[in-house]
Amino acid sequence: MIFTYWMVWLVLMLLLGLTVWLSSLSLGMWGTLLALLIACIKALLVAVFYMHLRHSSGLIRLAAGAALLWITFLFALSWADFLSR
Amino acid sequence: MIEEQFEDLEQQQQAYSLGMWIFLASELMLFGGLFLAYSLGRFTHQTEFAQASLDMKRMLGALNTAVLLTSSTVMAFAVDRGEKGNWKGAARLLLITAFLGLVFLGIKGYEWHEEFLHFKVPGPHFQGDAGEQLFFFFYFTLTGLHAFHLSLGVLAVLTCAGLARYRPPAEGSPIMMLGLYWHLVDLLWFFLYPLLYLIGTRP
Repeated sequence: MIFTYWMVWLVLMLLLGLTVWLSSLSLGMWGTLLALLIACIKALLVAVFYMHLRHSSGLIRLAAGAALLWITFLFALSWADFLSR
Repeated sequence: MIEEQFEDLEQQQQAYSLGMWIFLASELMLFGGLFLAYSLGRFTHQTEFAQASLDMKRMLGALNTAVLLTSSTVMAFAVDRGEKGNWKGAARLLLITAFLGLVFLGIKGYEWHEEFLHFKVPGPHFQGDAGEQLFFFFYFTLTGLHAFHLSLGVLAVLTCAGLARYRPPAEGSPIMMLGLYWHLVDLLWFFLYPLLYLIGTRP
């Protein structure tokens, strides 16, 4: 348990370093996409290990995933409207 | 202690967690709406947003990210201690968590102060064009809402630390629920940091 938590901390710190380093390369929109991808990985690590989703029941995981589903709808419908005006 | 509406400890734990996750989902959707508005604003003012983001102190932001994710790790250990019934240990770790939260707020407050002095607060005295002002509008809204959540988190963590030390709950649920909230606030910052601090490209 202690080992796992510290490993997650180490990976999170390394990913933070990677984010800062990538931002110095001036990659433009790709830089943002990469940074968001890394942020998603970090968020997933925290959710799975620190927030115990690894050991949670399906019901809890469903509740956690529901918000993401609705946010996906929010972005998809809004952007579909915005880009097709 | 098992409340009378539950059959056993596991069912109670399950119900607490489910309730907390539904609350966290509503928090995610609150921020989700703001992220959507940000994405539309940035799409229509790409160069201005990139320009305005150059004013951010990206190293202070990185330091704050490190502080917050370390606080989350400490919180995870506190939850672990609480579950094992080690209340004194949990209280000590909760105090460290709250302290790291205060360090984060201190650094953030310093940044806000700097931006205030440099006329970066949207309003009649803002220095920069409309697109840059829009960026700073999002910046203050998002970081402000995040700092508000973190402040509430610090208060709750301190309360919980006091309770754990002097009047320990019978099982670990309160600290566990608090931990979920703290981790979510940490997790949101993972997205705020690159979207606000790192989108500027140096010429």
